[in-house]
Amino acid sequence: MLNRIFLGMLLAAIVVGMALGRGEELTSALLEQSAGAVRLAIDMAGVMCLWSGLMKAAERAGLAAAVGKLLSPLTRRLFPKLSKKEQNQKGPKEGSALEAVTMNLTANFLGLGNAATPLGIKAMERMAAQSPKGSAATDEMILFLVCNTAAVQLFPSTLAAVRQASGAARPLDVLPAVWIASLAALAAGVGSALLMGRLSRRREGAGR
Amino acid sequence: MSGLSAWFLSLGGWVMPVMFCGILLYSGAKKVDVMAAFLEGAGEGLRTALELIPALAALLCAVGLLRASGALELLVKVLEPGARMLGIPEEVLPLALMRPVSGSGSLAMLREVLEKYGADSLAGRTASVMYCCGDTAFYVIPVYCGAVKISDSRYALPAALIGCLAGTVCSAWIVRAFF
Repeated sequence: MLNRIFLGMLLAAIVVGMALGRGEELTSALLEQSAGAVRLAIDMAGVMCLWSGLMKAAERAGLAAAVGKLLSPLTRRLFPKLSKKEQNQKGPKEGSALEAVTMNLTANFLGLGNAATPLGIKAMERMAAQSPKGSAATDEMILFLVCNTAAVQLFPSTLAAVRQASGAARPLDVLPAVWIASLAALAAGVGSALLMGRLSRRREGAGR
Repeated sequence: MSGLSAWFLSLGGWVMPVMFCGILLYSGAKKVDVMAAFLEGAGEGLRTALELIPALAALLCAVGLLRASGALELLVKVLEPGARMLGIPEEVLPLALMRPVSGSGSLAMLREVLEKYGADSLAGRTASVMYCCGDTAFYVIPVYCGAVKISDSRYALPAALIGCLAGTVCSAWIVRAFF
Protein backbone atom coordinates (compact mmCIF):
# COMPACT_ATOMS: atom_id res chain seq x y z
CA MET A 1 0.00 0.00 0.00
CA LEU A 2 2.59 2.50 1.12
CA ASN A 3 4.87 1.44 -1.71
CA ARG A 4 2.21 2.25 -4.31
CA ILE A 5 1.47 5.61 -2.73
CA PHE A 6 5.16 6.47 -2.64
CA LEU A 7 5.57 5.57 -6.31
CA GLY A 8 2.37 7.44 -7.18
CA MET A 9 3.68 10.57 -5.48
CA LEU A 10 7.00 10.33 -7.34
CA LEU A 11 5.29 9.77 -10.68
CA ALA A 12 2.89 12.69 -10.21
CA ALA A 13 5.77 14.94 -9.15
CA ILE A 14 8.06 14.13 -12.07
CA VAL A 15 5.28 14.33 -14.68
CA VAL A 16 3.85 17.63 -13.45
CA GLY A 17 7.34 18.99 -12.74
CA MET A 18 8.46 18.27 -16.30
CA ALA A 19 5.30 19.78 -17.73
CA LEU A 20 5.88 22.97 -15.77
CA GLY A 21 9.67 22.92 -16.25
CA ARG A 22 10.60 22.95 -12.58
CA GLY A 23 13.84 20.94 -12.61
CA GLU A 24 15.76 23.29 -10.34
CA GLU A 25 13.00 23.33 -7.75
CA LEU A 26 12.79 19.54 -7.75
CA THR A 27 16.54 19.23 -7.22
CA SER A 28 16.61 21.56 -4.28
CA ALA A 29 13.50 19.91 -2.79
CA LEU A 30 15.29 16.55 -2.81
CA LEU A 31 18.46 17.85 -1.21
CA GLU A 32 16.67 20.00 1.34
CA GLN A 33 14.10 17.45 2.43
CA SER A 34 16.51 14.57 2.92
CA ALA A 35 18.63 16.73 5.20
CA GLY A 36 15.41 17.96 6.80
CA ALA A 37 14.44 14.39 7.73
CA VAL A 38 17.54 14.04 9.89
CA ARG A 39 17.06 17.47 11.47
CA LEU A 40 13.42 16.72 12.26
CA ALA A 41 14.22 13.35 13.84
CA ILE A 42 16.96 14.90 15.98
CA ASP A 43 14.68 17.75 17.02
CA MET A 44 11.96 15.28 17.97
CA ALA A 45 14.28 12.87 19.77
CA GLY A 46 14.37 14.77 23.06
CA VAL A 47 10.62 14.85 23.58
CA MET A 48 10.32 11.23 22.54
CA CYS A 49 13.00 10.19 25.05
CA LEU A 50 11.21 12.10 27.76
CA TRP A 51 7.87 10.50 27.03
CA SER A 52 9.11 6.92 26.65
CA GLY A 53 11.08 7.26 29.87
CA LEU A 54 8.03 8.53 31.68
CA MET A 55 5.87 5.74 30.35
CA LYS A 56 8.37 3.08 31.34
CA ALA A 57 8.21 4.29 34.94
CA ALA A 58 4.40 4.42 34.75
CA GLU A 59 4.28 0.86 33.46
CA ARG A 60 6.46 -0.42 36.31
CA ALA A 61 4.32 1.39 38.86
CA GLY A 62 1.26 -0.47 37.59
CA LEU A 63 -0.32 2.69 36.24
CA ALA A 64 -1.46 1.06 33.01
CA ALA A 65 -3.40 -1.53 35.01
CA ALA A 66 -4.97 1.23 37.11
CA VAL A 67 -6.10 3.16 34.04
CA GLY A 68 -7.42 -0.11 32.60
CA LYS A 69 -9.57 -0.54 35.70
CA LEU A 70 -10.90 3.00 35.22
CA LEU A 71 -11.81 2.25 31.61
CA SER A 72 -13.37 -1.15 32.22
CA PRO A 73 -16.95 0.07 32.94
CA LEU A 74 -16.82 1.76 29.55
CA THR A 75 -15.53 -1.28 27.67
CA ARG A 76 -18.00 -3.56 29.44
CA ARG A 77 -20.82 -1.39 28.14
CA LEU A 78 -19.38 -1.14 24.62
CA PHE A 79 -18.84 -4.90 24.37
CA PRO A 80 -21.84 -6.37 26.21
CA LYS A 81 -21.60 -9.70 24.41
CA LEU A 82 -18.02 -10.27 25.50
CA SER A 83 -18.71 -9.46 29.13
CA LYS A 84 -21.84 -11.65 29.18
CA LYS A 85 -19.93 -14.62 27.82
CA GLU A 86 -17.26 -14.18 30.43
CA GLN A 87 -19.76 -13.98 33.28
CA ASN A 88 -21.11 -17.38 32.26
CA GLN A 89 -17.62 -18.85 32.28
CA LYS A 90 -16.74 -20.77 35.42
CA GLY A 91 -13.40 -20.70 37.15
CA PRO A 92 -10.67 -18.11 36.77
CA LYS A 93 -11.08 -15.72 33.87
CA GLU A 94 -7.90 -16.52 32.06
CA GLY A 95 -7.80 -15.63 28.41
CA SER A 96 -10.46 -12.99 28.89
CA ALA A 97 -11.16 -11.22 25.61
CA LEU A 98 -12.65 -8.23 27.37
CA GLU A 99 -9.51 -7.81 29.44
CA ALA A 100 -7.28 -7.86 26.37
CA VAL A 101 -9.58 -5.32 24.69
CA THR A 102 -9.40 -3.04 27.73
CA MET A 103 -5.61 -3.32 27.99
CA ASN A 104 -5.17 -2.52 24.30
CA LEU A 105 -7.43 0.53 24.47
CA THR A 106 -5.58 1.67 27.60
CA ALA A 107 -2.22 1.34 25.88
CA ASN A 108 -3.54 3.40 22.98
CA PHE A 109 -4.97 6.00 25.35
CA LEU A 110 -1.60 6.39 27.05
CA GLY A 111 0.26 6.44 23.73
CA LEU A 112 2.14 3.17 24.35
CA GLY A 113 2.24 2.30 20.66
CA ASN A 114 4.67 -0.60 21.05
CA ALA A 115 2.53 -2.27 23.70
CA ALA A 116 -0.76 -1.64 21.93
CA THR A 117 -0.25 -3.78 18.83
CA PRO A 118 0.56 -7.13 20.52
CA LEU A 119 -2.28 -6.57 22.99
CA GLY A 120 -4.64 -5.79 20.13
CA ILE A 121 -3.71 -8.97 18.30
CA LYS A 122 -4.22 -10.93 21.50
CA ALA A 123 -7.67 -9.37 21.87
CA MET A 124 -8.52 -10.36 18.29
CA GLU A 125 -7.34 -13.93 18.92
CA ARG A 126 -9.45 -14.28 22.04
CA MET A 127 -12.51 -12.86 20.33
CA ALA A 128 -11.98 -15.27 17.45
CA ALA A 129 -11.73 -18.18 19.91
CA GLN A 130 -14.98 -17.19 21.61
CA SER A 131 -17.17 -16.91 18.56
CA PRO A 132 -15.88 -18.80 15.54
CA LYS A 133 -17.55 -17.26 12.56
CA GLY A 134 -15.18 -18.47 9.91
CA SER A 135 -13.28 -15.88 7.95
CA ALA A 136 -15.65 -12.96 8.59
CA ALA A 137 -15.12 -10.43 11.38
CA THR A 138 -17.73 -10.39 14.15
CA ASP A 139 -19.53 -7.21 15.17
CA GLU A 140 -17.43 -7.01 18.35
CA MET A 141 -14.20 -7.29 16.37
CA ILE A 142 -15.30 -4.48 14.09
CA LEU A 143 -16.22 -2.24 17.00
CA PHE A 144 -12.82 -2.98 18.49
CA LEU A 145 -11.04 -2.16 15.21
CA VAL A 146 -12.93 1.11 14.93
CA CYS A 147 -11.97 2.07 18.51
CA ASN A 148 -8.37 1.37 17.56
CA THR A 149 -8.40 3.52 14.43
CA ALA A 150 -9.98 6.46 16.26
CA ALA A 151 -6.86 6.74 18.44
CA VAL A 152 -7.97 8.78 21.43
CA GLN A 153 -4.75 9.79 23.15
CA LEU A 154 -4.27 11.54 26.46
CA PHE A 155 -0.94 13.00 25.45
CA PRO A 156 0.07 12.92 21.77
CA SER A 157 3.83 12.87 22.22
CA THR A 158 4.71 12.80 18.51
CA LEU A 159 2.58 15.88 17.89
CA ALA A 160 4.21 17.67 20.82
CA ALA A 161 7.63 16.84 19.39
CA VAL A 162 6.86 18.01 15.84
CA ARG A 163 5.21 21.22 17.00
CA GLN A 164 8.17 21.95 19.24
CA ALA A 165 10.55 21.27 16.35
CA SER A 166 8.53 23.55 14.06
CA GLY A 167 8.81 26.50 16.42
CA ALA A 168 5.32 26.69 17.91
CA ALA A 169 5.14 29.30 20.67
CA ARG A 170 3.14 26.95 22.90
CA PRO A 171 3.33 23.50 21.29
CA LEU A 172 0.55 22.07 23.44
CA ASP A 173 -2.07 24.81 23.15
CA VAL A 174 -3.96 22.55 20.71
CA LEU A 175 -4.33 19.76 23.25
CA PRO A 176 -7.94 20.46 24.34
CA ALA A 177 -8.94 20.71 20.68
CA VAL A 178 -7.22 17.37 20.03
CA TRP A 179 -9.20 15.69 22.81
CA ILE A 180 -12.54 17.01 21.59
CA ALA A 181 -11.87 16.17 17.94
CA SER A 182 -10.68 12.64 18.72
CA LEU A 183 -13.68 11.97 20.91
CA ALA A 184 -15.91 13.19 18.07
CA ALA A 185 -14.10 10.87 15.66
CA LEU A 186 -14.50 7.97 18.10
CA ALA A 187 -18.20 8.70 18.61
CA ALA A 188 -18.85 8.91 14.88
CA GLY A 189 -16.90 5.71 14.20
CA VAL A 190 -18.55 3.73 16.99
CA GLY A 191 -21.98 5.12 16.10
CA SER A 192 -21.69 4.14 12.47
CA ALA A 193 -20.26 0.71 13.36
CA LEU A 194 -23.24 0.01 15.64
CA LEU A 195 -25.65 1.23 12.98
CA MET A 196 -24.05 -0.82 10.20
CA GLY A 197 -24.00 -3.86 12.49
CA ARG A 198 -27.72 -3.52 13.09
CA LEU A 199 -28.40 -3.08 9.37
CA SER A 200 -26.40 -6.16 8.43
CA ARG A 201 -28.16 -8.27 11.08
CA ARG A 202 -31.52 -7.12 9.73
CA ARG A 203 -30.47 -8.05 6.20
CA GLU A 204 -29.37 -11.50 7.34
CA GLY A 205 -32.67 -11.97 9.16
CA ALA A 206 -34.64 -11.04 6.05
CA GLY A 207 -32.63 -13.43 3.87
CA ARG A 208 -33.49 -16.40 6.01
CA MET B 1 -18.11 31.73 28.18
CA SER B 2 -14.83 33.31 27.13
CA GLY B 3 -13.53 32.81 30.67
CA LEU B 4 -14.43 29.15 30.50
CA SER B 5 -12.83 28.57 27.11
CA ALA B 6 -9.73 30.45 28.23
CA TRP B 7 -9.53 28.18 31.24
CA PHE B 8 -9.97 25.14 29.01
CA LEU B 9 -7.22 26.34 26.67
CA SER B 10 -4.82 26.95 29.54
CA LEU B 11 -5.26 23.28 30.49
CA GLY B 12 -3.03 22.39 27.55
CA GLY B 13 -0.10 24.17 29.14
CA TRP B 14 -0.45 22.27 32.42
CA VAL B 15 -0.85 18.74 31.12
CA MET B 16 2.80 18.05 30.52
CA PRO B 17 4.42 19.31 33.75
CA VAL B 18 1.66 17.82 35.92
CA MET B 19 1.81 14.45 34.17
CA PHE B 20 5.59 14.39 34.13
CA CYS B 21 6.12 15.14 37.80
CA GLY B 22 2.95 13.40 38.96
CA ILE B 23 3.64 10.08 37.26
CA LEU B 24 7.28 9.97 38.32
CA LEU B 25 6.44 10.84 41.93
CA TYR B 26 3.64 8.26 41.96
CA SER B 27 6.04 5.63 40.61
CA GLY B 28 8.57 6.56 43.26
CA ALA B 29 5.90 6.15 45.93
CA LYS B 30 5.20 2.68 44.49
CA LYS B 31 8.85 1.75 45.12
CA VAL B 32 9.85 1.76 41.46
CA ASP B 33 13.47 2.62 40.67
CA VAL B 34 12.32 5.67 38.77
CA MET B 35 15.70 6.76 37.45
CA ALA B 36 16.54 3.32 36.03
CA ALA B 37 13.11 2.93 34.46
CA PHE B 38 13.28 6.42 32.99
CA LEU B 39 16.70 5.87 31.45
CA GLU B 40 15.67 2.55 29.96
CA GLY B 41 12.53 4.01 28.46
CA ALA B 42 14.33 7.10 27.18
CA GLY B 43 16.81 4.86 25.38
CA GLU B 44 13.92 3.18 23.61
CA GLY B 45 12.48 6.59 22.74
CA LEU B 46 15.78 7.65 21.21
CA ARG B 47 15.90 4.51 19.09
CA THR B 48 12.33 5.15 17.95
CA ALA B 49 13.23 8.68 16.89
CA LEU B 50 16.30 7.50 14.97
CA GLU B 51 14.36 4.68 13.34
CA LEU B 52 11.98 7.31 11.99
CA ILE B 53 14.72 8.80 9.79
CA PRO B 54 14.59 6.41 6.79
CA ALA B 55 10.80 6.67 6.39
CA LEU B 56 10.92 10.42 6.99
CA ALA B 57 13.67 10.87 4.41
CA ALA B 58 11.68 8.97 1.79
CA LEU B 59 8.35 10.62 2.48
CA LEU B 60 9.58 14.16 3.14
CA CYS B 61 11.36 13.96 -0.22
CA ALA B 62 8.23 12.67 -1.95
CA VAL B 63 6.10 15.40 -0.40
CA GLY B 64 8.74 18.01 -1.17
CA LEU B 65 8.84 16.90 -4.81
CA LEU B 66 5.04 17.02 -5.03
CA ARG B 67 5.06 20.54 -3.64
CA ALA B 68 7.94 21.78 -5.82
CA SER B 69 6.49 20.29 -9.02
CA GLY B 70 3.14 21.99 -8.55
CA ALA B 71 1.28 18.66 -8.42
CA LEU B 72 0.12 19.28 -4.87
CA GLU B 73 -1.44 22.60 -5.91
CA LEU B 74 -3.31 20.84 -8.71
CA LEU B 75 -4.66 18.20 -6.34
CA VAL B 76 -5.73 20.84 -3.84
CA LYS B 77 -7.46 22.82 -6.57
CA VAL B 78 -9.48 19.76 -7.58
CA LEU B 79 -10.55 18.97 -4.03
CA GLU B 80 -11.02 22.51 -2.79
CA PRO B 81 -14.77 22.95 -3.53
CA GLY B 82 -15.71 19.86 -1.53
CA ALA B 83 -13.45 20.86 1.33
CA ARG B 84 -14.90 24.36 1.44
CA MET B 85 -18.37 22.90 1.85
CA LEU B 86 -17.15 20.97 4.91
CA GLY B 87 -15.21 23.93 6.30
CA ILE B 88 -11.76 22.33 5.92
CA PRO B 89 -8.92 24.74 5.07
CA GLU B 90 -7.41 23.80 1.71
CA GLU B 91 -3.83 23.79 3.03
CA VAL B 92 -4.50 20.67 5.12
CA LEU B 93 -6.22 18.64 2.38
CA PRO B 94 -3.18 16.52 1.47
CA LEU B 95 -2.77 15.60 5.14
CA ALA B 96 -6.44 14.68 5.45
CA LEU B 97 -6.04 12.28 2.51
CA MET B 98 -2.83 10.76 3.88
CA ARG B 99 -4.02 10.29 7.48
CA PRO B 100 -5.88 6.96 7.16
CA VAL B 101 -3.21 5.55 4.83
CA SER B 102 0.23 6.04 6.36
CA GLY B 103 1.57 7.17 9.72
CA SER B 104 4.98 8.34 8.52
CA GLY B 105 3.38 9.80 5.40
CA SER B 106 1.02 11.94 7.46
CA LEU B 107 3.87 12.96 9.75
CA ALA B 108 5.69 14.21 6.64
CA MET B 109 2.56 16.05 5.48
CA LEU B 110 2.08 17.60 8.92
CA ARG B 111 5.68 18.78 8.97
CA GLU B 112 5.20 20.30 5.52
CA VAL B 113 2.15 22.31 6.66
CA LEU B 114 3.85 23.45 9.88
CA GLU B 115 6.95 24.58 7.99
CA LYS B 116 5.13 26.29 5.15
CA TYR B 117 2.36 28.11 7.01
CA GLY B 118 3.77 28.20 10.56
CA ALA B 119 2.92 26.03 13.55
CA ASP B 120 0.68 28.70 15.06
CA SER B 121 -1.27 29.53 11.90
CA LEU B 122 -4.86 28.40 11.43
CA ALA B 123 -3.69 25.79 8.91
CA GLY B 124 -0.88 24.65 11.20
CA ARG B 125 -3.14 24.20 14.19
CA THR B 126 -5.85 22.46 12.14
CA ALA B 127 -3.25 20.10 10.70
CA SER B 128 -1.93 19.36 14.20
CA VAL B 129 -5.36 18.44 15.53
CA MET B 130 -6.18 16.46 12.42
CA TYR B 131 -2.96 14.48 12.67
CA CYS B 132 -3.96 13.24 16.11
CA CYS B 133 -7.59 12.35 15.72
CA GLY B 134 -7.32 9.19 13.71
CA ASP B 135 -4.96 6.32 13.12
CA THR B 136 -4.08 4.55 9.90
CA ALA B 137 -7.24 2.52 9.23
CA PHE B 138 -5.78 1.03 6.06
CA TYR B 139 -2.94 -0.41 8.13
CA VAL B 140 -4.53 -1.33 11.47
CA ILE B 141 -7.50 -3.23 10.05
CA PRO B 142 -5.53 -5.52 7.68
CA VAL B 143 -2.85 -6.21 10.30
CA TYR B 144 -5.30 -7.10 13.09
CA CYS B 145 -7.55 -9.13 10.80
CA GLY B 146 -4.62 -10.87 9.13
CA ALA B 147 -3.22 -11.91 12.50
CA VAL B 148 -6.30 -14.02 13.21
CA LYS B 149 -6.86 -15.13 9.58
CA ILE B 150 -9.96 -13.05 8.99
CA SER B 151 -10.25 -12.20 5.34
CA ASP B 152 -13.65 -10.48 5.39
CA SER B 153 -13.56 -7.37 7.55
CA ARG B 154 -17.17 -6.54 6.54
CA TYR B 155 -18.08 -2.95 7.43
CA ALA B 156 -14.93 -2.23 9.52
CA LEU B 157 -13.22 0.02 6.97
CA PRO B 158 -16.28 2.14 6.05
CA ALA B 159 -17.10 2.69 9.75
CA ALA B 160 -13.47 3.61 10.52
CA LEU B 161 -13.37 6.02 7.57
CA ILE B 162 -16.60 7.71 8.68
CA GLY B 163 -14.96 8.24 12.07
CA CYS B 164 -11.87 9.63 10.35
CA LEU B 165 -13.91 12.04 8.23
CA ALA B 166 -15.86 13.21 11.28
CA GLY B 167 -12.56 13.83 13.09
CA THR B 168 -11.19 15.80 10.15
CA VAL B 169 -14.24 18.06 9.84
CA CYS B 170 -14.45 18.46 13.60
CA SER B 171 -10.76 19.47 13.82
CA ALA B 172 -11.32 22.29 11.37
CA TRP B 173 -14.40 23.55 13.21
CA ILE B 174 -12.89 23.36 16.68
CA VAL B 175 -9.67 25.10 15.75
CA ARG B 176 -11.66 27.87 14.11
CA ALA B 177 -13.85 28.19 17.22
CA PHE B 178 -10.96 28.14 19.73
CA PHE B 179 -8.25 30.21 18.09
